[in-house]
Amino acid sequence: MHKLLSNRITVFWLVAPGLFLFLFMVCFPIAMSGYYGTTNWKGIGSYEFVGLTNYTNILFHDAVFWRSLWHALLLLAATLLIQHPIALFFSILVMHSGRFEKLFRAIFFIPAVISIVVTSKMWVSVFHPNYGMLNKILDGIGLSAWKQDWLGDPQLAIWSIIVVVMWQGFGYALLLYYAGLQGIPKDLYEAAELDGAGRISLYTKVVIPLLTPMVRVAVVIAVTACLKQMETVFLMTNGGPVNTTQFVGNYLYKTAFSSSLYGYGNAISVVFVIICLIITVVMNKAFKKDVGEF
Amino acid sequence: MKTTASARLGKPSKGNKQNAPSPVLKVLLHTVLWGIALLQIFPLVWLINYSFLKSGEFFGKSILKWPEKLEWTNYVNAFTYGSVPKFMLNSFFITMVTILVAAILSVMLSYAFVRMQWKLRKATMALILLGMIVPIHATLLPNFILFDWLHLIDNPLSLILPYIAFSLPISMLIISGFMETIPRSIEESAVMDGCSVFGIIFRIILPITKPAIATVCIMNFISWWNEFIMANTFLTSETFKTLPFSIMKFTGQYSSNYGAQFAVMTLIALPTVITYLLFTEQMSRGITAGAVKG
Amino acid sequence: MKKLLSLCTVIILVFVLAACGTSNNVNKNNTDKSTKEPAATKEPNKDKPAEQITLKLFTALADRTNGAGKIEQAIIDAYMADNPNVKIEVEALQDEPYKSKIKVYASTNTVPDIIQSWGQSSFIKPLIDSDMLMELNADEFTSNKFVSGAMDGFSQDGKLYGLPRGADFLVLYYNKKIFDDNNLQVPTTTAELLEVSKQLRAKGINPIATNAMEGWSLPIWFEYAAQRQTGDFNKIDDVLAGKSTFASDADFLAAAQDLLALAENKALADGFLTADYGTARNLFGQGQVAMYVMGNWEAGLATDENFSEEFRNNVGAISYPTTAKGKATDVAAWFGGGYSISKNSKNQEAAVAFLKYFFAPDNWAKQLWQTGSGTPAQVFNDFLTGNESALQKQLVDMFGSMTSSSGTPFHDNGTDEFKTKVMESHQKLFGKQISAEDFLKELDAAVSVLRK
Repeated sequence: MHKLLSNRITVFWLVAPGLFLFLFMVCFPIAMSGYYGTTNWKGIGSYEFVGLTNYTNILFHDAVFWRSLWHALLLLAATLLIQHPIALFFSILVMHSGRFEKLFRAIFFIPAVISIVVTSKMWVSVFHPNYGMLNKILDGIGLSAWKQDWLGDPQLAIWSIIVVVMWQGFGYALLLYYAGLQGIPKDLYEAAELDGAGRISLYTKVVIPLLTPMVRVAVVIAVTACLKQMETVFLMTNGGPVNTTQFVGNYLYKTAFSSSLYGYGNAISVVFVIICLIITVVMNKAFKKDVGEF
Repeated sequence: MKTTASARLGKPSKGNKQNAPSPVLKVLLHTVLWGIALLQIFPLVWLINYSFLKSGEFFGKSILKWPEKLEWTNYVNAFTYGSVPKFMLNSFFITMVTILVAAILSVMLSYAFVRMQWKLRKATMALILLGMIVPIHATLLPNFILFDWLHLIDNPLSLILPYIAFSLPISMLIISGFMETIPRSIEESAVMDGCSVFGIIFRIILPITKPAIATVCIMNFISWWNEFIMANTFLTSETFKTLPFSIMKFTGQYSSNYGAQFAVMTLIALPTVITYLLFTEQMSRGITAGAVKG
Repeated sequence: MKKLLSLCTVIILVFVLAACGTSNNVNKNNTDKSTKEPAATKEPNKDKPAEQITLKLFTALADRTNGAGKIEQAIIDAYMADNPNVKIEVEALQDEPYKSKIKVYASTNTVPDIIQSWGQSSFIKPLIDSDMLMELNADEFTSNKFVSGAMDGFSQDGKLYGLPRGADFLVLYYNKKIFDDNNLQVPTTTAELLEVSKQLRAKGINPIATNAMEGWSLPIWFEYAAQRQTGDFNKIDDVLAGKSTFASDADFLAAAQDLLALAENKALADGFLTADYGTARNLFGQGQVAMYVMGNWEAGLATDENFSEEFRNNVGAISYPTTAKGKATDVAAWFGGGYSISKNSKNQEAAVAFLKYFFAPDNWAKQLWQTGSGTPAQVFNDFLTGNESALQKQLVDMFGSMTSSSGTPFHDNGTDEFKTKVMESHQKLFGKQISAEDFLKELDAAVSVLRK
């Protein structure tokens, strides 16, 4: 057994195709970005090396970059503190919904399978101050005073975006927790019932701790998705009004393509990748302590 | 079906009065579930509703409107000018190849990382996992130059390759997490029978990891079906253009024709929803089957 | 600016001729051309009968079923029908995605055969400087009768790199029905504009919309506002040239305050800053807002069947409201988009042949004018039909009576970084996020980027 599992040739054939593709499509382009990040290339024509100027500018003088990062953290906080507990709660509810179980699971997941291009266009229409559904509903139930320019108000816009992202990702989180719940051996429930544990304590004391591996996966997915958020913002506000809904992905795209600061844009993506690395390392350290195995 | 139902966790076994939900609780449960379900599905209903109305009615006072006459011309326009069927075929082709290859490669990688013993195992695994946090947009322009060197611009491979590469980290994380929970004893007995490592993977591991693979496939399907920034950048002619881009193009070309825009968005949203509804049955069966393990 | 004035003279001439009806002269010109042009376009056909040529054309006229985009496509289709060996593949994106993608093409040296270009340094200079555009021979296009000066923006160091499609100017469209229904007058002065906006707002009507999300109409709007205070479009050019600053000029401050006053009195439609081109146009076309700040190329509003007949009959346009210093005949006008040919194109001859065909007077200039989709940069006096929509007549009047013009929009007179900064500071001003003083400071900071 041991010999078979340490055969180098087998390892090579298992790992090589995936690893090669990964290096070629992910690592190599980043190295290229690192190179262009030290230049003042405008995307067209010749360029000069400017050393680390781009990088120091990003770290110490670029308020928009830090703001974009802050928005990612806000989104992450909202996802982890609001979306995930609700998703977990609902995955439990769905399991208890009897014959509608499949139906609910399907409906909850539907927003996640619709193209972001479609959902973004749709939400822009929903939020529109003149003809948007949201303001129409507020009118309809006599709350006209609550009507807002949901995406145009610099204070509100980011929250409107967060709601949309959470809405779209809800089914996703629910599916993960649901799959996790399915993976819990049923005899555990029976054992708990024999102990006379109540339904709530059954979940808080037995089931949820056992979900830890799935929670780990779900949190990792949430962190990366929030940091990388771009499409929804790109299509709904393009970071506006005036960068109040800016996210790093969109910001580097805008810098490279709208402002033609290609060198600077590449430097942003390198800094961004490094920050993401740090966050991941920290996250992994934190998780390693309390991952329960079964 | 019956056996799975009774085996399903959370279903109180008969005669266990203590845990049987009261009717009030049941009604409450269903109200909450239906409420959220409505929230999740309502925009889709709204989308379909307006795809049958005239453009001007979009600006009216009501939230939903019963169409006096179904505006099928919206759909005719969508089909004729939006090239929906062609783009959809392209999307299916590119996404399917991506998720299949990604699933196989990640199972191979996961096995090498979880079960095999080799020197750089931990380092390589960490490297690939770090790929999870790399924003795909950071590689957009370097990749364009790369594909230009390789003459892959305007070739489906220019999407498939990065799509697979970016699928690997998260797919591997989920599948290897699942694999860790599989007892080694099964494989050991297979080795006794003279199975090779590849034999173990494809005959034993693959069937057991099916639920995780299903989850991974769905996740990849959604993210790549929705991807449009790379598709817009790397594909220049219409031959291989994918669906999300067609909506952007369509909304540019028919910016005043809201009816047709809604029609094309419905046409793009519905097939994924239907595909998902068909696929979800298989997936849930896979999950319940896999739940026997754990 | 001189160029535009000369164009105005031509336009005035046009009107004189039009007033004369169909004179013999005009008819002669027409027949002359129709015999010459087809012969010229068939040349490539004869030279290489068998060779199949594919030309890639990348354009920013995204809407292929309305206005200018429809005409462009119709001419392309006609050309392919006449020349079966030539296939023209069109890629069309809206302005902003277009400009992003052209950079991707340029950075990898894969610029399509024919591209839309703008005769403005922010767009065309980097392409010329990095040797991506083919030099055109102006003599080859004399029969296309471009208005004198129209090609200047597309030239550098005496060499021509592009051909202009049209002359553009920013106007204030209004929906007469909304004004009539509420017993209001269409504003003629900036003070009236503010007052009318307040009254519209009081009646629950959204006053003004534009595509503030993309943002390029805002700096041109500011040019108007500034001219109405300073009385001179050239003041901004002086700032760009480093002769003065925005913040030091009380007139610029007054102009910024005028715009801020509009924002503070809710003269800007709800969702103003998040409205993109399509949204803003639809809001106006569907009767949701009373006024719409946009270029003359939207003359097609009066004929777009997506909008109600009532709207189409009631849409009108005026120059930006005036003050004692700035008259209605001072117009923010410039030469807009056109075409260039890629230096790397393998089919340069075919591309040139197509452009000749495209700009044949009977094609682009005539069709653009007669469908009311814009003002060509070519002489078009032959094509006045007398059937122009009221809106079209208003626009031509405005253009014809122009006494001074702004030239290239000032955000386009520099690098893309400058442009982004200028547009963002405008979005902040219109979004009431900064004071008028800070706005001018930000503009000065943007100008300093140009000096680096």
